[in-house]
Amino acid sequence: MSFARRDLMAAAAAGTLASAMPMPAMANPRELRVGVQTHARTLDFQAETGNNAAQFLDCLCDTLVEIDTRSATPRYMPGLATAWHSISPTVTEFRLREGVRMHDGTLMDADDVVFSLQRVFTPTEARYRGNHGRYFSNFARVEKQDAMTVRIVTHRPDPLVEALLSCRNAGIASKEQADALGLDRAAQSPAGSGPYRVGSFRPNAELTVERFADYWGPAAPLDRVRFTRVSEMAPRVTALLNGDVDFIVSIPPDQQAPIRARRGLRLVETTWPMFFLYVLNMNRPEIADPRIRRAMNLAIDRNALASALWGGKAHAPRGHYFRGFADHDFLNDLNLLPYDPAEARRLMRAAGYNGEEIVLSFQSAYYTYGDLGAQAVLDMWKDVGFRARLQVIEGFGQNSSRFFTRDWSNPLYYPDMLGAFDTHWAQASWVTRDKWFAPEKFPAYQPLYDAVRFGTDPQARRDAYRRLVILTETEMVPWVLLYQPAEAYAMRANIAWEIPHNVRPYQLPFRAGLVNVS
Amino acid sequence: MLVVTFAGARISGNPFDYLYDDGLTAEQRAELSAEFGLDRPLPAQFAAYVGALATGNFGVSIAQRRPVLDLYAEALPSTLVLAVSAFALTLAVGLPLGVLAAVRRGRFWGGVAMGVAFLGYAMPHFVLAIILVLVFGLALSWLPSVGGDTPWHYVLPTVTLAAGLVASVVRFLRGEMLEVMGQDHVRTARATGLSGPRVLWGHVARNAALPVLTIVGLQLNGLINGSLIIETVFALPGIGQTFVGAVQVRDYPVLQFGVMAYALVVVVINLGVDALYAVADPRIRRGGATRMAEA
Amino acid sequence: MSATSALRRVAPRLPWPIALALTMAALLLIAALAAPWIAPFDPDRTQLLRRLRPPAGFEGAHPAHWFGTDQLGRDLVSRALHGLRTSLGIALIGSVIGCLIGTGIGLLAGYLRGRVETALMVIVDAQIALPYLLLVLLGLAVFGTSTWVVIALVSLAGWENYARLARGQVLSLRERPFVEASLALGAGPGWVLRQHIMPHLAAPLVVQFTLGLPAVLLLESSLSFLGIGVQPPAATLGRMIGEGRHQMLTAPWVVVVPTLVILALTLCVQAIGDWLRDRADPRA
Repeated sequence: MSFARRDLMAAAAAGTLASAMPMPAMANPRELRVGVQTHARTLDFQAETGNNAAQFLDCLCDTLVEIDTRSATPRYMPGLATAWHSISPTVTEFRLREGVRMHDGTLMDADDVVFSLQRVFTPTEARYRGNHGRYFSNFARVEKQDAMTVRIVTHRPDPLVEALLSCRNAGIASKEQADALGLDRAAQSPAGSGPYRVGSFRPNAELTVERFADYWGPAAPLDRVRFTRVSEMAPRVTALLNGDVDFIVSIPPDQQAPIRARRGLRLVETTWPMFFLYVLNMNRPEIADPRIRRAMNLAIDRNALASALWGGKAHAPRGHYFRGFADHDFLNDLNLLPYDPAEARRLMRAAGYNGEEIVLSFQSAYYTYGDLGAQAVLDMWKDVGFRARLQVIEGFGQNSSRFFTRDWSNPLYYPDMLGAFDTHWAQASWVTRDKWFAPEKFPAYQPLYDAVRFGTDPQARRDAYRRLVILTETEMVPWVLLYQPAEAYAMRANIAWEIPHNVRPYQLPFRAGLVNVS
Repeated sequence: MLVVTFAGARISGNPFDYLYDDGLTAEQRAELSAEFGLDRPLPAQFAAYVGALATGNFGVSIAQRRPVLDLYAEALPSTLVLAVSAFALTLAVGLPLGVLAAVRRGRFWGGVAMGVAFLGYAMPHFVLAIILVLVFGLALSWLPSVGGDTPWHYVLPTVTLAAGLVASVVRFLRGEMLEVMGQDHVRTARATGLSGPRVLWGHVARNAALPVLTIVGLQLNGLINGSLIIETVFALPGIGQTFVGAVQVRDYPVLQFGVMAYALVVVVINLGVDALYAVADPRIRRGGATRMAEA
Repeated sequence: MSATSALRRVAPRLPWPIALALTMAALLLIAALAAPWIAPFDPDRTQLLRRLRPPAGFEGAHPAHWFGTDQLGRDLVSRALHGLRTSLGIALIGSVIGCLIGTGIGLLAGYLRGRVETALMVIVDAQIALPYLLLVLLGLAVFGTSTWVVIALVSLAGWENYARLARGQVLSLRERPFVEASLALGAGPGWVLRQHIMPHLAAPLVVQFTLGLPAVLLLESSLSFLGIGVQPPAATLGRMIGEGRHQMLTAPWVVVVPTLVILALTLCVQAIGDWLRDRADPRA
């Protein structure tokens, strides 16, 4: 606090005389103040897999392989590795970039890469678990060849090595810093090699990143970016309209009118390649019959949800594939999720549904409009004859077997047809571990999954994925997909910024060429 | 108090159930529990906790993996500023309104004073906060709406917090003044021909001012509960958010420290108020606590 | 207004603001009791195609929904009525329980004196030294979220005030000549309690009750802000405000309607409480 207590008293007393006071000074045009809805507990590149930390990591770290966030289709480019080639079907060798300065002043070398990637390939500590399951379960180890060469070894030949290594959770951090500070302190201010370095960080509240003068690539276009958590919607929108921040995230369609009405501001919108969904617990006896779970799906009018809650800007899913995503275009003829209450009732009768209570458990404030969606779905289920109620849950960690449902999102983590499926429904994911999802009961599943995950022939992969989408949706029914939510960012009109392609939703790129303040 | 908090926190759940959305395997859970010493029997954990306290070690946050003291030290300034300024504003507004309500009791201005006081109180904090943001931030653009960069940023949060507290000051002071005004020495003063204002300020206000000190203690709970919500709306990263964040993920060390510090502050303030009483009026030795109940 | 004038005939000495407050409180109570019969719609029934309609008289209003609809197209008149019913029910039941427990403990402490009194008053002080919010959050975590748990937590919010009040009254009354005389004549404690203590205690308790009620009503809305409390989709005034706050920029009526109900209720109860206190306090 830089002001005296006397000033403060004066300020408090002057509340009603405020008309005469000047507005707070406009920020330096090279500083961007961002109001975010959720913040992060740590900035650990390897451990933070959530939608919240994803906002920040792109500023801070680089990966061996980078992806072009501007091209319509995925295009991989040299990152911290300048070249790579296959040594054998399961071994890829990467030549590292010389002279890359890390934020702690050290030079990036094979030790940093081994340290960083080994943490996600073979997590030795409990707290790095999620990452491993979601992304890197097919990765065995990373070996140092010489100071500037590493080899990455996979269990099976993996056509997705580049895609996976370009994810921010494969970001490279300084081993020297972690050795000196310990992982816990390093996680508060990690030394990556990105165009910005951590200036100050207050977990769950505020992060300031500053231009890193020694960045190996094109210099960052901004001096500073400050990410402040403004979790409440109305104050966040007001902060932008008012000039307290320059850029805000997460403005649902029905909140956008005041921003559209204001000159000098602009909105950037998209419909994420991401599902908001309920995972169904296949082992819960009341819903163990797939016909019941299918009925729960057919009872839902997804178009009504998408148009009412999201002003028509959300997409109603028709299966586990994204409309508008090039890799899924070949599936556009499939509609596996019609709104069909009559069929839902028929399935319930056939399955002998006898009024068993279904409990829709969800987290109240985690996903935008998650609470509204749940209340609408409850009515739709009741309409076809389910006896159902809602239950707000604080965390799903404990005793997950007792729940019927939990709310979840399935974002496209990497730009491949399997990019949203693999990271959430693979063997190593919690849904399999906790037995909510029981693929072993469906012999057709594993061969199809393997064919998509490890196949190399594009047409064969497409055929297998089509069959996988149909199998999961109509026979296994492990989920209720609700919608692909819309997202909007609002900013001052002099900020040129677009939503990036080919990277996971919520990533906020402010690198050279990706943001421009005039 | 230590036992209650320690046990209460543990009964309410396990931090690893809330920190890791995707759950943990049994081995991972065991490993994490061992890291934070949660695998030992509860009595041993408690003994270790008390032992560490004795050496001034308050532990490490399980969620953020850094010292508990750091978390609170970061959050303290903004909470302190908010609490002190809100308290000052509460008194600055509440005392005159309380006097007005007593002196003009049953008349128009007395009613207005009470009405104003209760209007702020009768509305949920967050509604008032958002209304203030929309009016003074958005519509009028007089004041910044979120954050804590400058003193101006604290104006709206302070007003919101004070609005909820003014009512009890007004009500309390009015009650005290009415009581004092009915007492013999005031009647005598009036009978001897002293003018209204001189009686009011010389006898009534002075005697009523003392009990108002008690309000400090009374308001603390309201101050803390209110500041949590206000911090959230105005994006002020203060103690309230630290504390509730810790409760939500069952971050035992953070939670335990919060309760302890809170209890300590309550005790210190109440002792301080009692001491002031004793100094100001030797006839009263332990009046503070019982008087509160009559407020 | 006819109700007000009728009341004034019955009680000519009633100041008009109090008469108004009493009338209003009575109307609100009747509305809460009759909610299931007078609400025009099912309060929880979502109608996605009719969401966020403004109140009658504004552009885009739907004729069936006088106060408009909320984020899920639910009728705000019906939700406000049922919300009033639930919130008032929780507040009243919770306050009554808190009052009974607190008064009982206070009486016990005042009657028994000695170590029991000290022990009981330590509990009372401990309650004050414990952040109430923590109690609530932990309570909900341990016992789950149900309406009865919320009621129990609400009752915990104010019991210590009643305990102090009751103890203070007992302590002062037992020194009075008439009580001492009764005791000297061999009256049992139960008789003294009924004949002497309760009549004197009743007025301050009622006052405390009316003054504590608004705080309890607001508490329920704080819980909703934090996303805990009564489970959706049930309407409570606090939940309506908590859920609607996101729409305050674009659809303020979703918050304004329940806020006005809370405001009216708390202002009436406050006014009545203060008036009762002034009347009960012979010194003033």
